[in-house]
Amino acid sequence: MNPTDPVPNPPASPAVDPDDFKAMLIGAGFIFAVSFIPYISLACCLPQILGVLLTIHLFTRWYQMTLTYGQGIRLGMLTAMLGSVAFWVVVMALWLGFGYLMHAKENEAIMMKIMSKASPEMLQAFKQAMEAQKTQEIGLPQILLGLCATVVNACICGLIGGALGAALFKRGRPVG
Amino acid sequence: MKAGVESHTRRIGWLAAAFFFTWTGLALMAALPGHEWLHQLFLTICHQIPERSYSISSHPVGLCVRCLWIYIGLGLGHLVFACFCLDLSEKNSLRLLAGTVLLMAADVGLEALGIYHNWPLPRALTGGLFGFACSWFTLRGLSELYLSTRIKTISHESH
Repeated sequence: MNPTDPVPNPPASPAVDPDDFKAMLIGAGFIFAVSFIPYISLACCLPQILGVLLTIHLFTRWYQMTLTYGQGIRLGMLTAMLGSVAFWVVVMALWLGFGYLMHAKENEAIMMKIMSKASPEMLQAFKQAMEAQKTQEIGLPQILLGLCATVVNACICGLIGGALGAALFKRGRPVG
Repeated sequence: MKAGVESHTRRIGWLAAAFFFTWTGLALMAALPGHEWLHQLFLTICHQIPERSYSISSHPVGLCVRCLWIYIGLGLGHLVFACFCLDLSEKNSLRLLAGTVLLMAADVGLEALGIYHNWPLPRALTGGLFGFACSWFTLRGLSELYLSTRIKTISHESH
């Protein structure tokens, strides 16, 4: 079915207000679980966008509703942020509590590969910075930078996934 | 989207384009000495493999070619749809999006089949087109979000 075609007999909207939290939780759970896979960054932002699409697919299927693009973006951003920030909190808790930095080896391998193309001086400086980072205590700037990166990336993925999800999954009457 | 783009949509388009171009600029800045920490910003959103990224003075930028062009496409798309009032229907926008997704899948498939190896041009083209196609939907959504927020604010004020 073409997603822009009107639904022949749209089912009646449920009497109760649709609750998007369950669908959001499942999508965020998907993003959260997938983030634990090593080298998942090789798939770029695809897992986060898929998590958002999953949320919108489930929500529109359960309530037989069509979201506007704005509602899709709102739901998408919240889903991506919930999943990504939850994962970031776990990473931070493990780092601050046990000194274990998740995906550290994988990220270091990627960063070393990135730096391998740089000049020897830059590579040396980067290696020294990495060593210094291992020994130094985690500070507020690192925490804030990590949180900012997580939130901005989640917003971008939520924006794209939410708008595309609203365009793709049209199942009945518009919400609201 | 109607031919006469409303002023708020135009403003949102400009703002969104500014954001995506700033984001792209930060990715490019990551290649400059002293700004290596910027790579950390993009670590969760892109693999940043040097062989698949542009380099400045043999130092890779913060995003791979495809991701970089997706953001450039998003920025350009917001500008074009907001300022040049392209009267594109939802159906045609979906067709455009489907076409770009197919092109991207074809690029991935052809490279996986070994037809060509690590050719940045198709990755840049397909990524840029995908970002451009997405921007029609994101601009419309952001515009709707702004309007619904404004309506809520006005109704709160009137009560």
